[in-house]
Amino acid sequence: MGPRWKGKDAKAKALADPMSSIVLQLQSSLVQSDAQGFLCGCNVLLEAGPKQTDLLLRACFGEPIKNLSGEPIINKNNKHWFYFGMEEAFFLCNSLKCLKILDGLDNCPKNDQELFQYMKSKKTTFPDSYKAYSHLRLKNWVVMYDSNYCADFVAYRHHPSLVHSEFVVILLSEGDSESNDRLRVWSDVRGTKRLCKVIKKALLVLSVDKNGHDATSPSCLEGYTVTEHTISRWSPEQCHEDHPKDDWEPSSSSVPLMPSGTTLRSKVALAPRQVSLDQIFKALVIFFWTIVVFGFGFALGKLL
Amino acid sequence: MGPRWKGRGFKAKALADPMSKIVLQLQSSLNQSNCEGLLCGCSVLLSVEAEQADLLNRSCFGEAMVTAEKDKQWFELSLEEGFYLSYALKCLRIVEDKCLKSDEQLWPCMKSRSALFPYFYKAYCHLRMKNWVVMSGITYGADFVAYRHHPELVHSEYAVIVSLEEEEGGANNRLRVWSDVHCATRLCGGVAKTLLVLDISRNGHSADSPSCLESYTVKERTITRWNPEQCREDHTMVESENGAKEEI
Repeated sequence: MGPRWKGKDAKAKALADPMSSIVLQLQSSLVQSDAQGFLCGCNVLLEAGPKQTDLLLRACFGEPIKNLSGEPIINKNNKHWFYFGMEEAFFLCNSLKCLKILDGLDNCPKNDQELFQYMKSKKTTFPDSYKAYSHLRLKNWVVMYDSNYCADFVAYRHHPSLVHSEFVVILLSEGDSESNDRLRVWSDVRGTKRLCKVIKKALLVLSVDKNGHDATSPSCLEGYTVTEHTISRWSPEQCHEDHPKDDWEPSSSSVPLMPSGTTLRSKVALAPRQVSLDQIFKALVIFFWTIVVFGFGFALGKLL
Repeated sequence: MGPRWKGRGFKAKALADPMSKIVLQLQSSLNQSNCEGLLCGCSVLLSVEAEQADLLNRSCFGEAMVTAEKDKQWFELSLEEGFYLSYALKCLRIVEDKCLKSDEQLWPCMKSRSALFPYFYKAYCHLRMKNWVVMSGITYGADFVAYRHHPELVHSEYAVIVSLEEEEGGANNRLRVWSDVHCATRLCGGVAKTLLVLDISRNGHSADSPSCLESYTVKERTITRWNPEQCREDHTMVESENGAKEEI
């Protein structure tokens, strides 16, 4: 399932203004202004001037704080307040090194280590979720938190105003059974996949493996590996050996398609019903003769 | 969300031929013929005459298999279905490797095939005893789906997820994180079903024998989206600035 651009010129616009370039401009702008965010619960707040507001919105980092009418709040300094999720803030701070973060209560600057420990205390799976977030961001995907669908993140090829999101992203932690609460049973896999089909997105599973490293400091993250799997339905008709290769996109999946010990059968439609040309022709013939018969009957009635 | 009957007169048809009565007829017919099912893998295979095949189809137990045999019809039942006919309705004897199994002997066989069989069976049995037709819900991301009557007459109303008590959490529990709840609820909404969660608690009892099941409790919960506009306690009329009345 390729990208679904929102309008004729959207793709050209995106190519002319790549996300990597926007993020670089944002990085440069934040560094120049010595931007400082405030740690507040599970969010980081940042006061942003007009230029940075524009760059933050274009790069899809954070959300502007809005009033009850849905309008962004502008303070007396003519600046917007933005709030970031932990992964977003840590990416700007640790990966792009363009944001300093202060404690929201005492304004003391937090170094990466302190920030990492704090965020882990708020969310035990933070190291893995941050690894997954940064993995996609470094590949220039726009990564946003998913509140509408069924997953941890949603990934866009470019700005959401130009393109629909292509992937819902579910995070799995290898070897850490306690934090793995999704896709452990077949019903969850099937349900999630079915919902992805309805909302026209692919299911991307990111398996984060710590490779024996602990999670005591951000530098440990470099030892983690991320494996990408997409899960899609296997259609036998599309997978015949003599079927043209162009029409078949293989999907890798380490998730077993059927668990052992399945107790209840389900009627699985293996492929959508396809209407053949022959059936269409027959339907047209029947339609034609129906018109002829009705027409004849009508004419006869008029005559009599 | 009430029942969605699949055609005119179907509700009357269902009322005229209640599921409880069909199941009783099935029970009586299987008893009379001393039916034996074969435990094979994760299924129970049953060979029946035409009359029993009709009753199995009407009561929605098992699935008919296509075979070369013309005199008899083979059916494939799930573990829950097979054990329900054997243990709850006492109208089916089950054989494994040519040995007839009593309920006590069958129980560990079922558990070895499905670690959470006691929970799933309790949920299945709980709904069947209330005369719901219970079938696999895998296509809807659930454990079961529940029909008010035969699927030919009515659409299923509930997608059922079996929720286990905390200490059994392990590998098979659903709805432990918000994304899963959201996904399940949204999918159910899209297929016009209500998400029904059955919380099964062992109440400290073991799962060593089927008699333990009587001490298990089942709590039913439905999960639906909360729509603020639909849940206002009162709709009061207020005057807007220009004097026109607006309902809030």
